[in-house]
Amino acid sequence: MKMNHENMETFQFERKGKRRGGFSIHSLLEGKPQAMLLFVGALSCTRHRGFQMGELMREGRMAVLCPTATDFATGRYLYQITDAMRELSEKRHVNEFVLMYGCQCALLSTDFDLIRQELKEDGIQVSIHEHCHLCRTENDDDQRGRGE
Amino acid sequence: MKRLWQWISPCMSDVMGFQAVVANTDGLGIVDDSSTYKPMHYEREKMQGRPHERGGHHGKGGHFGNLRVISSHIEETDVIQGTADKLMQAAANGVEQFHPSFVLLTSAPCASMIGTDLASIADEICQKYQVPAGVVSLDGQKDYLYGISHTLEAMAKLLLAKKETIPGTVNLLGCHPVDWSEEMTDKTKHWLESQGLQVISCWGAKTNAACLQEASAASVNLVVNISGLRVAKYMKEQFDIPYVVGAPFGKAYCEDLLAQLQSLTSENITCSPERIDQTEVFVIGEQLQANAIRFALQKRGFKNICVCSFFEMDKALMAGADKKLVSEDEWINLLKSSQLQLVIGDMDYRIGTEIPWIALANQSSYGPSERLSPFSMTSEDLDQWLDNNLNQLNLK
Repeated sequence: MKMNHENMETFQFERKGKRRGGFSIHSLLEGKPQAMLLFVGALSCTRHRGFQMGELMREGRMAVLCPTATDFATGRYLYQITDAMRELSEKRHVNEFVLMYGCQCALLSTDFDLIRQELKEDGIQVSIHEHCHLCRTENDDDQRGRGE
Repeated sequence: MKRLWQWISPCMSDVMGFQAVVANTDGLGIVDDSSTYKPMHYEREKMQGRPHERGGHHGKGGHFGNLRVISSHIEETDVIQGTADKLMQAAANGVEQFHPSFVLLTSAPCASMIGTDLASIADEICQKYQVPAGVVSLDGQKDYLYGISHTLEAMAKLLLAKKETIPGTVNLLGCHPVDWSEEMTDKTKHWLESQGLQVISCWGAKTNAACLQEASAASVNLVVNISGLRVAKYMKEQFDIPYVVGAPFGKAYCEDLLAQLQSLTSENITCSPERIDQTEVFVIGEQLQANAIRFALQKRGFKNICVCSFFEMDKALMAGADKKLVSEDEWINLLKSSQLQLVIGDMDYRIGTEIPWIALANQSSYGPSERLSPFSMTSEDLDQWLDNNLNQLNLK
């Protein structure tokens, strides 16, 4: 059976309105045509620009990793992040990622530098986008998405 | 890899399910969260102006228009100091602005990790403002149906007291605005009324506490969406109200449901294959809607129809090889079956396959199917919709 995402185009779909000024998830990949965005966080976090996420996923430029509360509590999420990027790298032939995270990662003071170093050894380049509502580094409350 | 979503865009979370239900009542919802809550899509057109013009994160209290779900706006320091003060402040602002009939508290992912004692804060709100207050235990990591089912149960616990049963009355449970439009609720009410049953409350639809409080007088409950099952079980346990489960979609299925409402018996669904690799048709989506579609397909001669869902499913309502999906990879493997002739579901689940597909509305998705508004499948509407689609695919 043929499994390619291009067939999605057979279903007529318009972008969800015009993108407004200010922060857009798409901008994280500007100037990085070979890069892929990985969001790590709870399902609840995807209410922020969920439609933009959906668009990027259909374009094959984004993936979402949703570890459980247990994964966060036990630290398993750290392995899940590296495993996810290795899997995406292998399947999609992508060696450059932008990592975006939810407040749980911030709450646990996740050492993203360590993750970055570990993946660098596998030839995977990772840049971190700090965008956290809890730490007030988002400045995006003028944006409108579903629920927020 | 489990928990990694590459193709299927995320669905609404349990906290958004909470928001969908509470915003449709005269209650107040407070989410222990760091970011603001804005109206959801079904209200989006009613909202005008930018947040600072509506009061909100930049204004007093974080309220947006008539949206009845507000945030406690916790920050990094609250992780150490606790979020109780912020929650009480949000309650003060919310009660002053909305004069709610009840207050429900819940927590977003970061707050649920801190483990704030929401129950004690609900007690404090109840004592201070003389408003019933309760807690919905969510963590922002599960799907919207989970959130809605727990919210409806919490509302029942807060609002219901034993009443004398009124014969011939029914409650509709689970007609929430994500899967159900107001039109669908109205049509179902009219259909039941035409059959001599009076609908006294609709749980999940636009309503108020006074109306919901009548629910304990109903002689029977009709669970129309899987999110209504939990509150049905609660009402059965507390007030001995029997319930019938099934979305009133399709003429034949409605007739069956009506017979069940009158006789208070339940029917088992048996048209699913024994093994999932024998499946010829997948119906993927909310369980009760999918069951009704399966029933209609079976009437049209289709066999080996399997219901799957990434959302909440009840084991007692599953048949044969029906499956609660836990990962995208699992679904991709199921789509590879050589037996498969047809799939009915969200277009985002197609993942590039060329199997004949009928798109199903899915307002909880951030994908193309979100743009398909839920439409009435009550009575013959489902049959018409299904026949049109099957004709287009030359499958009839």
